[in-house]
Amino acid sequence: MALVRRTAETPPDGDRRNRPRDPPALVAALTDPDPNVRRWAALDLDGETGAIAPLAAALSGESDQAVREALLSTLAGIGGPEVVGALVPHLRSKDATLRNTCVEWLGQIPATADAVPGLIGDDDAAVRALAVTLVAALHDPRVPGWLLDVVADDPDANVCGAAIGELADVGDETACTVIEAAAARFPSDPFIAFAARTSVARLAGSG
Amino acid sequence: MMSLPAPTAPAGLSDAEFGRVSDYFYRRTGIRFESNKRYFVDKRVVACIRAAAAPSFTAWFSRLRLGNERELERALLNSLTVHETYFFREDYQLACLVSDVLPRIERERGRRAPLRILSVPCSTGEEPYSIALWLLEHWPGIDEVDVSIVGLDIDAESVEAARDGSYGPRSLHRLSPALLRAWFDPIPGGHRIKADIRDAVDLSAANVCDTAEMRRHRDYDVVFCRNLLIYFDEVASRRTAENLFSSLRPGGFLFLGHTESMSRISPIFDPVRFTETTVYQRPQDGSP
Repeated sequence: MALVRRTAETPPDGDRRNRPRDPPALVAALTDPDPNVRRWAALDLDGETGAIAPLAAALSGESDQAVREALLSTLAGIGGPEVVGALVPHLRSKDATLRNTCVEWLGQIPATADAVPGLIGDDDAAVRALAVTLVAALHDPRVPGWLLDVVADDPDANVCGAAIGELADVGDETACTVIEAAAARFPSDPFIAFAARTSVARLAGSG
Repeated sequence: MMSLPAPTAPAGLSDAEFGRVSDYFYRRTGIRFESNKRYFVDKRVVACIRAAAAPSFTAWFSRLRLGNERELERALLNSLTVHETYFFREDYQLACLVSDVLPRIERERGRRAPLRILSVPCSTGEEPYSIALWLLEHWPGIDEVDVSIVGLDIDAESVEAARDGSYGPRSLHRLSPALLRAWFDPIPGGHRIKADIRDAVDLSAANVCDTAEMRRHRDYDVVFCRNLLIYFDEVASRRTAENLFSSLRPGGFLFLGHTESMSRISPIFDPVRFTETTVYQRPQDGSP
């Protein structure tokens, strides 16, 4: 038979990247023309807190999806308020994929919670809508309270409706009154009415 | 599974509670429980609530959804998923390997190019040995192509057991007597895979989540990583997806468990739909 043993530690072409890390060189490599080089540089900067700003900055011009994922994976692995502060500006990016990807990753970083009050109070309704999605992904006991604030106060129907939908997942029966009051604020909006009916039915049925 | 009507006992879940937990589970894992699984889900969720000493579904769900109690999620995952390993588990994927994936690799890399296959996590060896046996039994190319199979697992004890290659009836229940005779030696209480196979499959300990540790495991044509990613949180599963991507050659193929979907985890692979299953391919471009 032609089953042959190849020891995992010695791949046929050797390990070209098994050398000491050089963070400044890796940061410089984030702008290399070769996406393979950029991706490995992003992965190799894992844990380098000094590289947060260049990693986050590299996201803006990065068109290669695999490189972008590597950048975000490394940033999320570092975590903390500095990473959150570096990623939040991308929520205003003109690149919808970058905005949505940053929302996904921010939702997995616990320090994002500290940025929530500012995001749900942002002047831009598009940012507030993203903030609702982001808030719902957080593992934080303050999530229902933040969503209730949005449902109670946000002047934008889309933002309010999104928060009502998310409350159905994380709220309890005490949210029903606030949701019904929000529906009354937008009496001619069929989406809000539908979201409110669905969420109240679900929350009222959980004990 | 069972399709019994919903229980009326107070220990069950309300319709709304079932909806909330099944929606959560779907978002978390991609596994959808329809109403015909109601009895199965209710029973296990109630057991999880009791084990967590939570006073109500809402209290438990709030801790699960909003707290940082990973053990609650792990208990739910363990109770609602099957986590056992045996020879030829989900063998339609092995059939797909032979009928669809290997011919495509042959077309792209040439007929006699050596083939490298990684099984991670390999647990106690059932998967890498199954791959070996399936190729020996069903793939004519095995006579012409050098095939190396590597198994990795984070648990060194599992790796030791895999190297030993001794199995009881539970692990072997899907193998025919003819296969057992051909590729195993009888031992007290079970069978041991023959030394030729044991010696050909390389098994070692490694953490697939660790980028630095995984960087030497590269240039594979095919990776099997089944029923692992659903147990990770999102950051870890995405990082692991990065590592699996790095382990593959450009154009290489990744098999996940039948309930798992890479599309829910990371956008960096291309899904490829074959007759039996969906496999994920590392794109040819933009790859190390």
